[in-house]
Amino acid sequence: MSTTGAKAYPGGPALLLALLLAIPLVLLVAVASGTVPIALPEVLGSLLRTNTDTQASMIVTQIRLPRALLALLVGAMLGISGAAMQGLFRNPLADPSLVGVSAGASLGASLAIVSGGVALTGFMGLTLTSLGAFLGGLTAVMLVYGLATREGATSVTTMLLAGIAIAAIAGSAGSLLELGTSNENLRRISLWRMGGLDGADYQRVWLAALTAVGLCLALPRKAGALDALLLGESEARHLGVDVQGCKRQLVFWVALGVGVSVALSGTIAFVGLVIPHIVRMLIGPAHRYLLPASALAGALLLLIADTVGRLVLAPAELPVGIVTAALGAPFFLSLLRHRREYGL
Amino acid sequence: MNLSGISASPWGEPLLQDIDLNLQRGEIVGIIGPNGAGKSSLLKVMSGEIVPQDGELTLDDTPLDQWPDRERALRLAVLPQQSTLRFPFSVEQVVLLGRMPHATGQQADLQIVEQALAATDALALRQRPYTALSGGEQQRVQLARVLAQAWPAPEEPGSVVLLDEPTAALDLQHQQWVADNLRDLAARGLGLALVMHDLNLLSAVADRILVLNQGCVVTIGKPEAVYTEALFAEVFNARVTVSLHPTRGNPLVLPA
Repeated sequence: MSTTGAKAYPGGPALLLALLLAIPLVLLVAVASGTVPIALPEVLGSLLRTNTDTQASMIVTQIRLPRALLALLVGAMLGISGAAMQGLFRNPLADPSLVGVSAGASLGASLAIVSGGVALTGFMGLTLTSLGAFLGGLTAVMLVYGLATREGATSVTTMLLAGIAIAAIAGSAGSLLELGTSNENLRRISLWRMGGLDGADYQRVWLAALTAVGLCLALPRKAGALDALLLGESEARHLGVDVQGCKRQLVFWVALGVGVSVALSGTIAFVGLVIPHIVRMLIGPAHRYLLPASALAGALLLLIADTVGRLVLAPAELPVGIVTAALGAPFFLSLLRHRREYGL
Repeated sequence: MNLSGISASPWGEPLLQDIDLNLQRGEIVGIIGPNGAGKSSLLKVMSGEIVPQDGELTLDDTPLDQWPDRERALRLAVLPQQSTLRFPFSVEQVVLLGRMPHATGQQADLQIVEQALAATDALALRQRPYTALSGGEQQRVQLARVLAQAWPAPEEPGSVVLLDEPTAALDLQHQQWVADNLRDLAARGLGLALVMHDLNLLSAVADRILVLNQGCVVTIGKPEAVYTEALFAEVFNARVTVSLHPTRGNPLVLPA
């Protein structure tokens, strides 16, 4: 397979490099800052295991580091999933939640909360709420994909419409649940919806890492096919792309990535929509660079957003979903005002 | 590419009935017919998008649907009637996509892209974003992409190229430019099938003309044999005068 876009947008490798350099620096700052500020040398010492007994070292390695790593991994999954979805739907405004994952996950989480399983621990350190969210998201995607597939061919347009319908059904079912439940549960549900990374531990980090590695290995292999799909499905077929197989794999990986993200951190809107869009404006639409750069940029945005969320109201916390929207939306709007310069 | 006894009715109504056509490398076959005669459907059958109910469709003696996706793309390139691309790829990136099935390496790919862009007079557009181009410029770029996919190479089998209205949005100069380059590519071993409404341009470029009406082949042959006043009266319900080009000698269709 020949590669595309090596010459026309020289910004691709440069952006990847800049993001790769920025992430460790931001990670250090994120781990150092918080209600109890810790000096950078001490942070480094804790991370390199030279001093392990101090209270600072406990805070760094047991609380802040897993949380920061979880933010990076979830952000990466949301960013790369968003880029893949926008390619699949041939629409720069598509969002991973379009295939019904977020709505289904929301309903699953609400069901779990209402049925009283908040405190129970299920599988791999996940609460029952998380499991409910994961299963709800997965069920929704399978329904949407099944509805849009006929005689072995999946219609992307039908998937979009079925996604809207399934999201509406899940939304109304969720509202029905909320009507009948206690005020306490209502508050839990609405907090869960805002998205949060509190409760991060290494079990969750491992789960996120496994999924993120899978996504970051599988999706970039489809970069050429996604470029071709932007021309149109029959055009991609004429270029030798196995279009149906490609769709199936893309939907599978995106559903898994977003499902795990939602299970670990609630619905964090906006990252999957806006990150690929911003990256595309900077380095063009070729997926060879768009996919990895969206993963890295998503990771960076979510880490910054979570750190800001921990700091502004300290010792209380702002849910990360609120921060991503508040940080990302103005940036996105300013880019939109300059869209002519990007040929959009 | 060989079609024998092809019939297709993908939506119940028969669109094509009993079509025979043998398209050789090195020749250009033009397909004409009134609106709704089945011209685009025929191209879609030949490209594998519509599966025929009856008949045999082979590419290099192997049934078309038995070619693996990528192998088929090395032998068959297709320009659909309309293509929408809403992402701001540069023109060069769009044309490079045509090299996707090939494993010729970036150096050779970029050379072919340059030649394909030259063949559609789009070299000057090379670094422009596709979304900023006019309709005619976009059509030239899409055509260049298809030509880049099919570009003749010494160690490759040579492609069959199906073009649906490749010159519809082009100005006079570029219609002529593209027609000359298609002739040139046919001479270098490509086999081309064109659907075109410009009868006079087609008679200058095509070796044979296939006339479709209501899904059936009316006739097929050299332009000078096919273009008769009686045919246009019968098939197109149009009164025309057929004359000859003063210097090139190909038949011209003029309103009566």
